[in-house]
Amino acid sequence: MEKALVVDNDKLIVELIAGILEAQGIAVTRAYGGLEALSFLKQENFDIVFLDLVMPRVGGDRICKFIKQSPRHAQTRVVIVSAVALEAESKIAELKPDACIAKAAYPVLKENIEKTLSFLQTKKRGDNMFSAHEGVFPRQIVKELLFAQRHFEAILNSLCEAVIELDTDHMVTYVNPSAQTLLGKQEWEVIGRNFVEGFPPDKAQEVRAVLDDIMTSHTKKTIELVLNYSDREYSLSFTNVIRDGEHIGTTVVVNDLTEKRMLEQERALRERLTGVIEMAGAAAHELNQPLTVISGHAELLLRDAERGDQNLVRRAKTILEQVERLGNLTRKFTSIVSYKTKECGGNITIVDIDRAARADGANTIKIKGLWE
Amino acid sequence: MKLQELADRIGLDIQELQEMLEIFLSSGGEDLARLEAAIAAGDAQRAHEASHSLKGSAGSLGLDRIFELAKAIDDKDRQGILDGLDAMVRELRAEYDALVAALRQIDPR
Repeated sequence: MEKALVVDNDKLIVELIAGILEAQGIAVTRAYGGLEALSFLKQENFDIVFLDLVMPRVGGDRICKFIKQSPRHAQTRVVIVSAVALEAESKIAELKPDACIAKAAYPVLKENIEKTLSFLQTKKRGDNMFSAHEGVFPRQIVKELLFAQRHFEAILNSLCEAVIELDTDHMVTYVNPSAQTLLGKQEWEVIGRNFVEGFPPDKAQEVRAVLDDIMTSHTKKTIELVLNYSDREYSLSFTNVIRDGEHIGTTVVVNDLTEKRMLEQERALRERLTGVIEMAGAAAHELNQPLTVISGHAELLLRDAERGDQNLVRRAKTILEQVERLGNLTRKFTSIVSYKTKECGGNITIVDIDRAARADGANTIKIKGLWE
Repeated sequence: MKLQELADRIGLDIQELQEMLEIFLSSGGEDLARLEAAIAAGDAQRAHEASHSLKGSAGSLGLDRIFELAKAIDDKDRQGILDGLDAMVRELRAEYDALVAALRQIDPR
């Protein structure tokens, strides 16, 4: 072991561990938080990383996942140093670190670190986790707190909304699985990246403006932003996280509205089609009566004309009346402004043209009298 | 407070201990001030964060009395209880100030 990274938000612990390592001739880089650790890990390789588990913002669990999934750090050993090493044992085991040390008073800590170092000299990466828990006992209260934390994690993980947490520099510190799917990226590819810079330039400007606005507020504030690009529509809901009147970060909830919009359009189209079909039924029904009358009278007209009958004028008038009636119907069809139906017997519903037509009869098509 | 005794007990030489104590006093001092302010403001959540942090740092350096007091306070404020903590916080402040004085005696700045 030549190069080590020591990560803890407690400066004292960082110095204590660094002192122990430096005494062994190991060069130590110090990181006082998860984001800082990530920025080192993106640029440098380390033989061994000492990680605190519980840190604000980006915790050691996520740093450990980042190291384990990154080909660059295939040779890096991870040692979790935690005050909750015993209580979080199953969670730590899932992370598959090379070793786990319980935080303890300095002499015990020193002994455990030295033991771990000599153990790791002889073991390959991927061997069973080495645990050093001497002088430490599990505490029920910590177990309960960890259980509560896992409970909230499970809720966030199961949300279909994408949830993203940003720090005051707009760096991503948390993404739930839905957000990873939406962004098309793994958690470790997203954490530590600037949220604004992920967008195309013109959209980035809009997002930055919202974030700048929200950061200046000293009370809780939510801003909605709808973005359209790459044939998709997203709604972003930004809420500031306020603590003691100070802005300490922003949560962003993202919904992909594209599917919803498509479903809405489909439904509207279906409704229109239903209307058209029922309208065709109504037209046929309403037109049938005057047509029957017209054809009957036309036949009678023909017969009377053959006999040289005086009823000719009366029949011609009837025909005209019925044509006028048809004209009224077509005027109503062109004035339909709403969708009203009526029962037509035999479980058939047709458009109620009289109720659906506009009262003022706009768009009237006048039928010129044949004789005028 | 005998710093040499503490150094021997936890296996650091006196100079290393001094360096660690400086770090402890800086972060621990902030924790203590936050704890006092949170108790005055009746904010149990913040009090808990401060006492918890102080407990951890003191524990790692073997500062037993500060650790015990911070732990006793932490056990209460974690449950939202702030009543009756004043005396313990005063004692904690006294222990902290004594540590500062002991350190300044060796290394007057």
